[in-house]
Amino acid sequence: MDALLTAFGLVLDPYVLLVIAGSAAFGLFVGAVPGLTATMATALLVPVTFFMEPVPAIAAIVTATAMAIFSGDIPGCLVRIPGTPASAAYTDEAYAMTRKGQAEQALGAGLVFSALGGIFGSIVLVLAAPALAEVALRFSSFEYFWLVCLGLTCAVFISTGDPVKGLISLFLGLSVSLVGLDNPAGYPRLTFGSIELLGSVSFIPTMIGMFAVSEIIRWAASPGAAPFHVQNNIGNVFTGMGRMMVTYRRQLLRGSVLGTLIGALPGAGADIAAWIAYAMSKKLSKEPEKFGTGHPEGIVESGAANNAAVSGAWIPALVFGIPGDSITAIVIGVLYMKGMNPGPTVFMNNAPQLYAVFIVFFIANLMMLPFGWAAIKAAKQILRMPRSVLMPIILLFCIVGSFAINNTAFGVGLMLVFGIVGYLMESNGIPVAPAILGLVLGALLEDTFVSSMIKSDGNIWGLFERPIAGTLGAVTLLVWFAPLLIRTMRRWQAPAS
Amino acid sequence: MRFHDGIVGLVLLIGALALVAYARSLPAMPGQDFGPGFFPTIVGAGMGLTSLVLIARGMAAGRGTGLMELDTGLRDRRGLAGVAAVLGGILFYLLAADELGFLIVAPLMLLVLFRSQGVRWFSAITIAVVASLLVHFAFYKLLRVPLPWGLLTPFSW
Amino acid sequence: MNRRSLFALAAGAAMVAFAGTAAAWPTRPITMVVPWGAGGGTDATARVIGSLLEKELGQPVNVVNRTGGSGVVGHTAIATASPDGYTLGIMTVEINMMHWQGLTKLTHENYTPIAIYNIDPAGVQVAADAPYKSIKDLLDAIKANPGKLKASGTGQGGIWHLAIAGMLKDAGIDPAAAPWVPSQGAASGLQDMVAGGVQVVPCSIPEARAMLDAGKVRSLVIMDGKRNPVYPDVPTLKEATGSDWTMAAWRAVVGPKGLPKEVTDKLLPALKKIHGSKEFRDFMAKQGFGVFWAEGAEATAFLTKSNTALGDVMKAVGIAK
Repeated sequence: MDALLTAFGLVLDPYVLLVIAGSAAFGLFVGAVPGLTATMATALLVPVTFFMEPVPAIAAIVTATAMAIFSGDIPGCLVRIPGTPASAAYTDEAYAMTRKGQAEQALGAGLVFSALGGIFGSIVLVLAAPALAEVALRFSSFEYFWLVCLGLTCAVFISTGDPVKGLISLFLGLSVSLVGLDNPAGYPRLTFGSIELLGSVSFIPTMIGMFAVSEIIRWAASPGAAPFHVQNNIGNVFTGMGRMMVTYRRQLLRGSVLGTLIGALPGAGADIAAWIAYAMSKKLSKEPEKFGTGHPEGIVESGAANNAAVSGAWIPALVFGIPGDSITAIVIGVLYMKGMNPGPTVFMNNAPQLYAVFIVFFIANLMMLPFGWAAIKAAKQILRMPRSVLMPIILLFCIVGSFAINNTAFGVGLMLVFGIVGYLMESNGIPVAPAILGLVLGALLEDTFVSSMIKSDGNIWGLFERPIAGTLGAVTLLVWFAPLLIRTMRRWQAPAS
Repeated sequence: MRFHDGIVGLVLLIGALALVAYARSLPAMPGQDFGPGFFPTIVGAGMGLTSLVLIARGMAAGRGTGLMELDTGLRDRRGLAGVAAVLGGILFYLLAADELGFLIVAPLMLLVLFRSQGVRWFSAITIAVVASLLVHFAFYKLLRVPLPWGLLTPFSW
Repeated sequence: MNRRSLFALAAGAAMVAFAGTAAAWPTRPITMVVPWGAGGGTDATARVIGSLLEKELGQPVNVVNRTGGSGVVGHTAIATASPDGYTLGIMTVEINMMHWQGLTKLTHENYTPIAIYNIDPAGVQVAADAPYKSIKDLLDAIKANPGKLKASGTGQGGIWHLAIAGMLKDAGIDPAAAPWVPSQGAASGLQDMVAGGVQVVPCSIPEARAMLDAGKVRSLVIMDGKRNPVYPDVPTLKEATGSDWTMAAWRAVVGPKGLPKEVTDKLLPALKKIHGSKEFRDFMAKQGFGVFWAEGAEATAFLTKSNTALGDVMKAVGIAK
């Protein structure tokens, strides 16, 4: 109890609160700029936090990342550029809502359910960190292999309309993930002698190209297109959110739980959580046909999931010093620097500081509501600019964003190539989202499979031998073959009856 | 630009076959039962199968849609000029940014794009310069992205 | 304006640029390239050095991660940058490994070494509930059942792969008797070991630190001449088996080849001051990183020796081409 009181004292210090407010604004900005991710926000904060006390240092990172993951939704919704990879899963959905003139609702859903998901993840972090971390630690390549298979299955669910073209898109993404040296054999593949390609096709410029540049090409190819639908009476983004919370309470809970769990798994973070949550939402929805046409249900679930994952990733990081995602990988270094060595002992040796960090988690997620509201208000003004001025400026942002991820012009080249590819794909009815998913998960699929096979001496049944892996494998196979099985059974029953 | 499903399938099939052929040429890895060629083979095979389905579907649908259709905008001069300005602008940035510097290339690129969309000269020049300076400030100063200075190196700040 | 006068103008501008840099380096922000991802040990040390260097030099030092290609991409970016002092980088032990594998033509000779600031020797970690109490137990188990125990902790042919392969060879065991499972890094290798996926992770002590403190893994031995002051109970390989085998990863601040003397003359003292500072020492000690210092001819000799030694081992265990 004393520790808790001390913790409140540590947080409610004017300097700490100032740091939190500053990092909130910083996080919102970085998240909203395409090409800059929550991980980069954290990396940029490290030198600043170096000269701070432990609590404000950690508070800055917690606040900035939570804000960045939310604000990635803003450009995704308004101009179809996911600000961070974690927003890519439902960018098309949110943009479809904007085209229908429902930008407020899409942004409002993103904001409110991001905050709620983040708060849920924080509660789990506070209450169940040690127990959950033990479970997360039991995952080896066998379990991950099945998890990735389940994730890739989502490609079929998220692709709107034609499943064959969804699969083609997925295979295109997987093919691109083959490029480079970073495969289990360490053998350069499809590099055509280029040093840049040796380092694989970076995901961010590809994503910017496929989503944003393709949209800009389409705009340029259709002169005199109608401007964005912006309602003149800019409504309150919170209108109707109460009703949505009741209607989609189950989706909110499901997304939050899933996000926290995936976040807690080392190696899978907010972006994968969002993809799986969106696919699950569509699969389990009562009205799956509305997905992709501008329907908030999937945004609720995956928006909650990606923010819950940000909190969930801290679970193994704090308990075992094992990063749950790339953000917490940096955080662990900062924790050491500040003498809060991660591990079970942190709960005893640094209890007041730790509780203070927990309190910051709640403050950050609650502060997201007013700060996010202001950011949305500012962003909406942008839409009022004529598109002939707006689109070229967006293109400049895309270029600089693609450059910024690795500080190389090669990123700009990738963006150009995949912009054209994305444009061609979409005009031929091939959705781009599954390709992005394939690129995200391709390397992981190969790594986990090859590792598992080395461990089991090439025995394919090794994938089923461990209890968790066996269960996950059975679930995956069931998802794949259940529709086939049901159809066969019906056909078999029909003549009998 | 819309192509007939059969053509899309055919192009993808050729790509898939090339990928499989390439994958078979990769060497085995001592100590790994599944070498660097295994996964590309699987991906290529999967791509090949799905593209076959697409070709079959295209054949069944017949030639009703035509082999290739241009977007409406690509048939007139303004649309073509717009697309050329977007692609050319990115290419120009790509090739010239390191030599000339961000603060020369970015305003030029914006200016061309604005003009291709019929923005008037005065607004086009003003917005191009102001937007470039703002982006430069945000990324170079605040986010510490080393944007190239190029010719302007002596005047760098 | 004709083409010739344009060229003259450009050349003039370039000369002004060059004169400007040489006069009072640094006059604008410096980029520090790290060939490894944010969150790793190289990134962490680079960011600390960067923020301290910023104070010393009075110009921002931007740490930039150029990842991928097992370090080839980032190392290439440092080597091919213009040697004007505005692009520096962190070079890691892999520079002396990848050219033996035929991945690049670059060697440490393509850089201007400023100073080597850190060395972390390899250790041998097993899960806390594993039956092996000493390195002897482990080596006996590998010898008795070749291929049964799997090791992990970095990519195929990486530094820790080399560490265990060399150790086994030195003990008269076939290096293939402990098959290597490639992983993204020491952290994921350790997690896999705790999850029961692999049995041995031969990474450095600072990388295993959190898991050691959490009681999840046990360190059997350290492949170095002396014990780690933070973990004095872990014996050296020499003490445990009498083997002379050592292996360590190191990190150095470098620039592209041909860095002007004006730059190094200012950079080296600044780095030396940082290296002795309380902030740097505290950081290194808290993370468990080994502090080391070599500059000038000493650094070059160190790099040359490391290069030959690594090449010999890589050929011996069959990793080099």
